[in-house]
Amino acid sequence: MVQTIAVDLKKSHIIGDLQSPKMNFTIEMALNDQGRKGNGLLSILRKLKSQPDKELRLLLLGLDNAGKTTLLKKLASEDITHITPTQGFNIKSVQSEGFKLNVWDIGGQRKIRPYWRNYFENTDVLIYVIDSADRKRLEETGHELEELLMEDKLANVPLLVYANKQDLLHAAPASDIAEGLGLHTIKDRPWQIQACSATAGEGVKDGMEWVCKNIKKK
Amino acid sequence: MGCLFHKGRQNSNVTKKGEVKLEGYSWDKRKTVNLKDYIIESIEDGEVLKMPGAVNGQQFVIQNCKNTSIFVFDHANTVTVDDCINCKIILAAVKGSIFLRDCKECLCVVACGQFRARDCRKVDIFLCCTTQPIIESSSSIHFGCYQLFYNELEEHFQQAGLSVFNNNWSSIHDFTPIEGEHNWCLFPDTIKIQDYVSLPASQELQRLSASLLAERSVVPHTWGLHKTPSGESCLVAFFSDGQQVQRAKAFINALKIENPYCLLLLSKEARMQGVDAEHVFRTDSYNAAVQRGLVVGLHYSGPNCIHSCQKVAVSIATATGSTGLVYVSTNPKISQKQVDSFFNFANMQLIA
Repeated sequence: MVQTIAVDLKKSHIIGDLQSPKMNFTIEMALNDQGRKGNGLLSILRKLKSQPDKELRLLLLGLDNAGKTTLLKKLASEDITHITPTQGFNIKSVQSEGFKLNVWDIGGQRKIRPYWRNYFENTDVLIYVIDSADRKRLEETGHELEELLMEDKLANVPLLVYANKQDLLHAAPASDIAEGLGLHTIKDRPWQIQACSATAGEGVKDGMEWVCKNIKKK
Repeated sequence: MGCLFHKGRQNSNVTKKGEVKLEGYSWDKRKTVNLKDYIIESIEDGEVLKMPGAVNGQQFVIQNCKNTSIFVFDHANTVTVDDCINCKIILAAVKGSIFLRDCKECLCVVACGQFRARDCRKVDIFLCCTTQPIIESSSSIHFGCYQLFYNELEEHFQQAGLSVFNNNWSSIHDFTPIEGEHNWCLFPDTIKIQDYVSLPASQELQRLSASLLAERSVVPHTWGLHKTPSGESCLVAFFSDGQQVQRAKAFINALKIENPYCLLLLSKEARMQGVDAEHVFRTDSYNAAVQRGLVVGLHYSGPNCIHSCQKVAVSIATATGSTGLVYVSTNPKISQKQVDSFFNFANMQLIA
């Protein structure tokens, strides 16, 4: 049986200057998403509707060039052909019957990583994106993740690691990455590593299903 | 790499509860290839040539090379260049990002979806980049416009999803600017790629008709943002008829002869909606034309620019019998505004 839910999808594009405390809302548009299907934010929202929370917040972090914005746009069922390196951050949000899902994608350059902490508050799930094919920086990404897991504001927040870019020839298998990052030693939160290719859309849904199951009950 | 979990894809998902999924992902079914064919590393004083088909849209890695010339006449998925010193690198077409790290005294000719550089010093880049190029913790980086030709290059651009008109080579974003200093600058107009790098004189390359000459380049030379528009501006737009790319190129060549002081500053190939078209062209006459597909827009600047562009547009249409639709600004009072609104809206499409 196909269930149709009438929803308004509100896409908010926010380009902010991380160095100024004030957010600049430069573009905002709304469109009706009824016609679309797929693995997008909408289907996640449908699954989450039994949750009592009114607003959920997913935080996408990872090194620069990991594929965070591609993943975000894929989740929002948007075109991914021309993606600019993120200078600040991007947000997508989906609303349905008073229930709201926000996904925050924060730029990953070394220089702007200190600003990540400004976005920790009230995070329901941390999604950490890794470029599995960037062998040179697996250590650097592991170090950044380690720092994140020690943050008080992210204590006990479920962690999904996307081992992205699995479609690339030099990609390390997710199991090797899990081992390299020492994920098995994480005891203070539920975690999962998911192999994926954001450009191909493969594995993304499987990760999101885990997110739905592991949203913290407040 | 350990092979602890080497039982195929069941273990691509490691979960706390040990859940496994049984259906496979495409990467688990991939044929095994020799990874060494897709990596150039630890070469000193050498020359490496990759011919069309050698990379064939795959990821490519270059690392730890010194005093080496590397020519990749093919399209690649994504490329990283690490720890190279005094190397000359040509990468014809990169679909995703090219990422330069810890390189110094290098030259790079590359067309790509994204350009990123971190911890680099003294690097010269001749670039065709769909999105805004970014640099971080780098200094003495020089940028110029990509120029390259070989027989298969247009095809390689298509396979990499790149447009020869979508070139933001000159609008650099620096994540780590230093007050009072310039980490990057644009090459002066007089610089030519062939003064910096020459192609090997091999028979293989002659077969490809490879060339660095501006006249032959598949990417039109644009002057970019460093050229302060002098004189009047003109917007020229070619609407989709399957031939708009060829028409635009013919126009560019003809205008060079008609009025050499009229400079092509920027080019862009973008999708437009009726409402965008009305805003740019100040009429609804083009609303139907923009629905047919991508529009190629050119920003010209120079003395008597509008007149020259009009003249060339007419002569090309007459000479080729082409009935393809083209728009040329007519009013010098609003032409700059038209240029700004076309390029602003086209750039908006690139923002997440």
